[in-house]
Amino acid sequence: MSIQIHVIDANGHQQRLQADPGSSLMELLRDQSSGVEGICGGCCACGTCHIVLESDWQPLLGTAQPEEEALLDALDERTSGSRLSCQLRLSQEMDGLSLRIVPAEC
Amino acid sequence: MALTKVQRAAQAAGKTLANRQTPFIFNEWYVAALGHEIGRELKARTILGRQLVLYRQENGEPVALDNRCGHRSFPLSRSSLEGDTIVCGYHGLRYDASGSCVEVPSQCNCAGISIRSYPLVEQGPVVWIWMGEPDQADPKQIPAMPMLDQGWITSCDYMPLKASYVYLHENLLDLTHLSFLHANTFGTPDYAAAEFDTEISEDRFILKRYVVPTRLPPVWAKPTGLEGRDAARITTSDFVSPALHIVHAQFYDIALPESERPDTRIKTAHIPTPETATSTHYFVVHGRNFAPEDDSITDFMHQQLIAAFHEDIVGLEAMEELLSNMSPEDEFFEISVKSDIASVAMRRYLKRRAEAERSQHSAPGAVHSQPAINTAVEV
Repeated sequence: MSIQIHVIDANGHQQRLQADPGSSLMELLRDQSSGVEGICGGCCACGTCHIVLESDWQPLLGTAQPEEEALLDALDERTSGSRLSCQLRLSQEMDGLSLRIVPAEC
Repeated sequence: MALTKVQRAAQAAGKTLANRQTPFIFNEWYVAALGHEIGRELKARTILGRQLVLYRQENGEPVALDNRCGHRSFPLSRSSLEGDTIVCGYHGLRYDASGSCVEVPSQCNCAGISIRSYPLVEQGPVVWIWMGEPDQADPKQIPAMPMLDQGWITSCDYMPLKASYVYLHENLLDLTHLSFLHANTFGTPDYAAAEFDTEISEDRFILKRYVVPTRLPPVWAKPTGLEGRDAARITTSDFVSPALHIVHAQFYDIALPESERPDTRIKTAHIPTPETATSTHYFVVHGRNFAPEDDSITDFMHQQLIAAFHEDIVGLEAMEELLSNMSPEDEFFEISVKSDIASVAMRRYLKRRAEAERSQHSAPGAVHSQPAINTAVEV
């Protein structure tokens, strides 16, 4: 069953995206929104898929692994709720997820 | 120098990746030598920064000992082999194949004098060595080399490489370089952009690339009879262990229905054994499952492959030279792209393994410091 993700894109516009569970959140945002580049293809190495989760969702998606943590630490705009969307795989539990894209500078 | 955001992120990500400064992983089976390299002469070889002496006993069993005489550090490789024992060329201490000193010419007592010996297992054309914790040496853990199976025709070689084994592993997991570094040998322009998928687990990293349709380079086209035909070239890069990478490839005429395609495959074991931090013993065992009777094909493919692998050596050595000449003030970063997915995961694994061994107090890597990065050891 497809799920819905609420996005504030790189230009501050609100979007509602439909997605199928299984692929990475980065790929969805890269293909259907703006501000996510994912130049490393999802191996947690470039920081160009930075998002901020709405506070309600932060505890629900687990904590970042050490590699993601190290990369987030190097990003100026890191805030509570910052994640790299390549490290989040779309799942049924993410239906209704709300997030903001921190635009990548490429 | 100010870095861009992506460069800075790449720099941060780089700290999680093994590189030429990462300590060695000791608790693995590595290939010490091709069997024919070890004989009745004493041979010096450095593996994982340890200087060893290799030889064969009279019954053919290979032996690996520390090259350093336990008395006053004379190289045993410059001593004499008498029967199955080495007599040190300095003061004449005699060691047996287990590393125990059995004679000190200046006294009648030599109990308790010994040097380390290393377990060896000879399998087909290669001799595996265990450099790690002696009580963890388990020959059942030696990775399989499927090209040594019955019916496959093999050839092997050894090439010294003045670069870190980490980058050789990376080279093998990202074959998009075939279109560029190997443009003059077995690369084709369509290779880099071909579709691929990956299979990544905790300790195994596999990338499968589908170059279809393509024209095969001479090394594959000639022996398979697919010259001038639209063919499929499907290549799997498989990181089996820190000591072994196997490339599997299959080729077929895409005009043929699946049921009529001959089973035409090659498997090449790329075997990077670290010598020092910045040098590697690069062994190759190549096998094919077709044209078993034709020795000229064995020679042709071997010569073509080694020419291509020399391009890797030239490239990796040029990178090593550049890296070793970097000024400490240079900002270092390497930006990874999609085709690096498997190699980035692999390099994180190598780093985790190395750090895990270092954190165990008893790990050999923790006891003996690794040679400095610029230590040159002649092969």
